Amino acid sequence: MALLEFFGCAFLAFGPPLAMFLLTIAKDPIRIIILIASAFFWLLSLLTSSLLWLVAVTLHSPIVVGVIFSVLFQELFRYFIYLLLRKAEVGLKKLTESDTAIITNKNILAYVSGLGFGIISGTFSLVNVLADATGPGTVGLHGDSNLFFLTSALTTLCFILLHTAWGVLFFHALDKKKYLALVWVVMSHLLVSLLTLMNSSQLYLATILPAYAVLVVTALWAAGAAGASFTSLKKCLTGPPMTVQVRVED
Amino acid sequence: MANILNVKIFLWLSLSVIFLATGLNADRITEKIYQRIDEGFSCFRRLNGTHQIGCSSSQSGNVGVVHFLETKLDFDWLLKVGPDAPYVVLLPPDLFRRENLMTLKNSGKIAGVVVLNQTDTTLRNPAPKPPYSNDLTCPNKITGLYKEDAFSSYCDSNPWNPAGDGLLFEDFKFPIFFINETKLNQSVLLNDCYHKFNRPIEGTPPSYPLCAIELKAFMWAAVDTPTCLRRGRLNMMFNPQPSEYCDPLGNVNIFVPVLAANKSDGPVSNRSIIFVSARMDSASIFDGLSIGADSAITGMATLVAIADMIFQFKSDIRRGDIENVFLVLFNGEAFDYIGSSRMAYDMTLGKFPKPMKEENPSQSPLIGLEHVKYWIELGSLAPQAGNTKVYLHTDPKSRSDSGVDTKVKDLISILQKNQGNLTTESIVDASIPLPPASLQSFLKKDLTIPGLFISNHKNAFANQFYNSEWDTFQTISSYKLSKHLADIARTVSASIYELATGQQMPSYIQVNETLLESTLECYLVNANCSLFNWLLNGRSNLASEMVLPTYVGVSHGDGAYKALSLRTRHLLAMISGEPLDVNKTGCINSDHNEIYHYYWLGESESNNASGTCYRSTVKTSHAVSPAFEIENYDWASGEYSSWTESRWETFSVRIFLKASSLQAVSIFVFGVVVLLLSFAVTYWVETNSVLLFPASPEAVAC
Repeated sequence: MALLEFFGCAFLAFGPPLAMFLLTIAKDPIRIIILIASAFFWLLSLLTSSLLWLVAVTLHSPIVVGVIFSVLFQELFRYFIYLLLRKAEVGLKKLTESDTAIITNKNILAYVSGLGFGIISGTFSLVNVLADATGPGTVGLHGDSNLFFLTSALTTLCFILLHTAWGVLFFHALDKKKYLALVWVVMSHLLVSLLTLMNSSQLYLATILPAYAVLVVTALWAAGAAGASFTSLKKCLTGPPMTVQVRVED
Repeated sequence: MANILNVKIFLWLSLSVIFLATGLNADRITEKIYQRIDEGFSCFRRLNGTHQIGCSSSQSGNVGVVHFLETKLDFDWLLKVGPDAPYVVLLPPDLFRRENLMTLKNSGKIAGVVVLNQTDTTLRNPAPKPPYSNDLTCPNKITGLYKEDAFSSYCDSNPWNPAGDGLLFEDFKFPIFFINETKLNQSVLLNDCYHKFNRPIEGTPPSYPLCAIELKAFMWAAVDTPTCLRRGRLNMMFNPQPSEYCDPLGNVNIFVPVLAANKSDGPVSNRSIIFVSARMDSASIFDGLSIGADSAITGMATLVAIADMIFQFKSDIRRGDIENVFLVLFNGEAFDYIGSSRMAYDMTLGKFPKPMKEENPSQSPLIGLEHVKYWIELGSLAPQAGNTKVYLHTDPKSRSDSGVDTKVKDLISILQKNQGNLTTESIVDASIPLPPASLQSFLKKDLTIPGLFISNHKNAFANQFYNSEWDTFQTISSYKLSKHLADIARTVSASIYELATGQQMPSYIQVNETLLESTLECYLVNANCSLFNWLLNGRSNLASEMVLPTYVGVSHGDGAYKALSLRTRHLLAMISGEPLDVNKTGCINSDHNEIYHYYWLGESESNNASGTCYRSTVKTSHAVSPAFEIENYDWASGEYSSWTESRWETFSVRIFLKASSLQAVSIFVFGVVVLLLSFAVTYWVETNSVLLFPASPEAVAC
């Protein structure tokens, strides 16, 4: 029975990123490289946070301090990968032969690096939990909620999708110098991360509902930044035949 | 300089690691899920020539929902309602009896059993109501003296151990643990697990999540001893990490020739040695729980007291025909007379104490069965309330020969003459055979040995807890205990003096009651006692208040079972040894040979005692069944003990919650739906991405 729970949680947390990876990333080696590179940058931010935490623990700092600095480090390293990708653009143009979308549409780079951040941070937060979910027991002997695994998976999924949206929005903000979006990314990241601290008092809904609300706002904003609008959505829903017609007319 | 720096960095790093570890440990998920229970003793598997007995879990451990059976009435609910099988049942000690275990075993609803030993308001006295024994009603009958004669049916109608339910010899496909919660303030299993989650209320089954327990006690061996040995041999040949699957039960017999003799003095005369013996082992279903207070220790402690007296008059022994007195402690007697059958076997083959070697000048002369003049064996000796009589059992089969009969009568009359404060009763009824006794192994080889078995019972055992985990000091404790054992020791010693010299034992030779009491304390109450610490020079390494198990163990086995024979050997070395004026290095480097051994005893750093060197004749001999020595032994014959013990890796117990299957299935379905949905959505967005996300105004214009 515990094995069912394990697979349920694994599909829940990693199903959407898996679909995104297989359908949008895996077809292009360049995207895979960028995904891994950004994941590596997230790891560097984790390393920095851990070093800081090593010191902070000896100073008996509360965990809030660790969370705040960890978020700031993640955003700092998101900035670093942004700088790196903008520098690497020239080289990428030379490498890319057929697929020019990645060059013409800057949002794709942003999306790939955001997903890289998301996948690696999701993996790090959930793998230990999943390993313990294989059974035979479930959480709750000492009074913890028995929905612990489900909440962990939902929170992880939320963070993976958030990172993707944050990536797009962050890059867009820097490109277009729209600093309000930048402030939103950092502040919402801080907000959602601090909300998870409530999990230790088992206020799971109080964490998850606001986190998903933030996800919806950020995702819409990011989609808008990437050029989506109601018009384009409507076009899609009725669009494909029209597109074909247009091409025929051409 | 670089070194100092390195040390500083190392210290800082290790400090940080420690802080990190202590800070984060509490948050590990496994600790939210599981709680280990360490106070457990497990049942394990043993094999004989034809069967397997005991318990084993599956390799990954057995898991079941915890259910407490407080009284007999609770069985009904479990068997008839109990919807959440498999269960692991918690049983109070008194319900751990054959009929209940068989009901549970046959119900098919059981994944394991836990005997819960704990004191709370409902279970004031955890010990089961006597009589209680998991041994057979006729212990060791198959390898005994009366297997195929007129006396073989005696025990069937007049069982020696009427309480014996034979549970020890039953084969269980599930693990059984004995969990001791007496030292805890409250029961983890009952309060944190059963009462909180699982207790049915007015017969209504509890709702999920339920508290479950995992019992891990996987046994490598199976089927029977020959199969297991054969598989082990194959494994040793072909497996890159060779290991046996089982080991023969075995330990050492400990014996003391009172007078040192060298083979150069010439051979021993026939019928010139008096043997005094006792057994030093008992048994129980659970590993590590076999104190054997009356099953073994009363007789053994009396033998120790006798040894102390005999060594006071050892110079008088050779006044008459007697050449020597042997004091023997047998091991493994609970499992078909392992120790005694091996000694008798070695004696008939001329290998006792050691095979003769030309090149070795310091060897004892060979001792055979024909050298035995008298055999006195001490059995269970604890005084019974209202009956402190001591019974003298003899073997009617050997006494049918008039020569032997006369000698046995002499032996009885001398013992009764020296009985002092004791009351003795000799069993005169010639239809009553010997009770289970090591002497049977010797009589089986040679019916001309005049022997006597001294015990506290006439017909059925007086010991109400024979070979069980409850045969402890509490059940035999009485103010008369050491006094009574001292009286027996005096009687036996005086009889040996008279048998050897024909005279009364001088009155200055007295029982050392302090020694007797310390011995009882060390073996029954606390093995971390001052006597044992003295014998091991303060290096006893035992937890306080621990009592050493007397189960024989395996010959290649670990410390616990060897620990007892080591201490016993040193105890006898102290009693029998001559203190020498030699320092520690001299003592340890002395010429240890087959006649003398040198023991350095009594050193203590805390008491500032320097220690003394003792030269002693104490020896050990293998107590491993001859069945493992004989080539092509017929394992089904029952001639010798064929017991082996399975190997295992670990015993572990942990409790946790088990989620309802509805919850698990819901989460799984939810996960699968999310997975499929996300593929669909991603695919749709990806195929429409050009339209949905127009890359730039120019692209739209295009």
